[in-house]
Amino acid sequence: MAAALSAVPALLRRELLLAARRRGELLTPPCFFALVAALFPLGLGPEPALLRAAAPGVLWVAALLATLLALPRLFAPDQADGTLEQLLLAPSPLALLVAVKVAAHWLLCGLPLVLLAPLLALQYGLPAGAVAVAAAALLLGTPALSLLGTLGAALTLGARGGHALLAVLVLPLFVPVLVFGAGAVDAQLQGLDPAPHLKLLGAVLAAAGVLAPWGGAAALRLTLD
Amino acid sequence: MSGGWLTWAAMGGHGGYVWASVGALAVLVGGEVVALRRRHRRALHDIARRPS
Amino acid sequence: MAARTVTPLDAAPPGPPPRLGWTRFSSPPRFHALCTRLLPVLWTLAALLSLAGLVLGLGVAPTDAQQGEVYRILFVHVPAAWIGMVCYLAMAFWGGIGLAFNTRLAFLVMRALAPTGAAFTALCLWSGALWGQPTWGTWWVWDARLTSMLLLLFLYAGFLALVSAIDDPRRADRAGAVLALGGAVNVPVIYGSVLWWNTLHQGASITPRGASMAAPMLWALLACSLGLWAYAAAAVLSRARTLALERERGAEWVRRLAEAKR
Repeated sequence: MAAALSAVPALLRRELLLAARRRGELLTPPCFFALVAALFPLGLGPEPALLRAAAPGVLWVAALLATLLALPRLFAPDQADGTLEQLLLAPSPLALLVAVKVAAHWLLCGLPLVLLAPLLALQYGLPAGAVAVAAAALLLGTPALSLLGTLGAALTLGARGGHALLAVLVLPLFVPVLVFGAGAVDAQLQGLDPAPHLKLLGAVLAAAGVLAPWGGAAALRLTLD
Repeated sequence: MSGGWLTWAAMGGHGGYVWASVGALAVLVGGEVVALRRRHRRALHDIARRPS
Repeated sequence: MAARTVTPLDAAPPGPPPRLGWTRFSSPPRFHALCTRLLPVLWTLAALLSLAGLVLGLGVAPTDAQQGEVYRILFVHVPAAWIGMVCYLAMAFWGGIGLAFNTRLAFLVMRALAPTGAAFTALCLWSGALWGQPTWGTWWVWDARLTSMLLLLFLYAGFLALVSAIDDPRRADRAGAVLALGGAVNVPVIYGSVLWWNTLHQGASITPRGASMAAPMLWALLACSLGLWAYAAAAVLSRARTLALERERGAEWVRRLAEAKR
């Protein structure tokens, strides 16, 4: 048991260290997030009322796409240098290792989105309460997105069709998070209570936290054996 | 006398905005200078360390 | 005459000196020496002019009739905008020189310009938001100039991400140069399209300050602009100098420099 758990800090440290060596790559998901959020007003027009109404959906779709773009980085580099096979052979349960990898991935790719979101929300003219709800919803939602994407990332390892295939697999899974997350911000904007939406988001996160590492591990074994 | 300074610093009630801008400039300049000096020193150190 | 197999890199090359004076500095050791001489002057100018400008702008310049005291943010916002824009054009220029003449130094200057330019563009957006909230009631206005500045920041981010993603420094230089050139060609097109978008949708626009600025305001703006320009030049040259040391680590002139310092 102790041996199994000892792998956790070591793996976490490795993930963070590898990311620190390529700090430029950490910039890309938040930049993409901000870019997509800037593209919508250029397409829709700068009218403040329209942008404020569109903001919940736009911010969530942008966050979704940014997470999707970062998902291949979860397993593909490790498959390329052989670490993934080592992880499969390790004594620790694979689901635990997958959970640690997803946690590191969220810290590096998801958390920056949460931190950037308030600035983008202000660009869309959202009032302070809605900005807070948006941040809270993304804080609950982005880990859920990382977890839900694990299955797709594992299944498409080395498959032809690459990133587009991953998108087709994973985006339907993202829909509940999108609906509850955007719904929470929208509710706040309209003066209703966002709490039920946030609680549903939390439930999705909890369920994903339990099921996704196990599913991802099974998918990895399937893909690599 | 100190009342005069405080009135000036308050900037007609919008002191927060003005000083946040000037403060950001200070952070930019300070941060960049520190980072540049550290990088230059590290470069010199690496050169000294390198076996000729 | 004894045969010499190694010629010191910073010795004068054989033949007549080049007619164009500035190509003398296209050798890294001469560039390093030039920077070392220029930097103290630039830092001093930057400190003196910027401080004078800020004192003038924040203290001496009179209160504005329409905007009260908040207008003073422009002493930070306007120079930052100019530096952000010009640094990008300079990046594209030096990238082009590097691609055309295949000189190492041009690429170093291009790389050195990027972080400073990006930082000032970000400062322009930050100060613009702080100016917007008390004057128009919102933190952000999707007007043509602010939106173009935001897109310029994205162009910088793209450049920085690209050069840090490519491992080989030479390839990274060339890729960055091509990107910077493409971006620079696009900047007028992007600005034009954003302007068209803004007028088409009749969006809000930040009316620029009228030419009727009081004399102390103009002096303060001039001082701040010159001071921050000097600062930006100093920061860029300092970074370029360090980049030259890092890249040419194995070279003869670097070793001699290190030994001289000891």
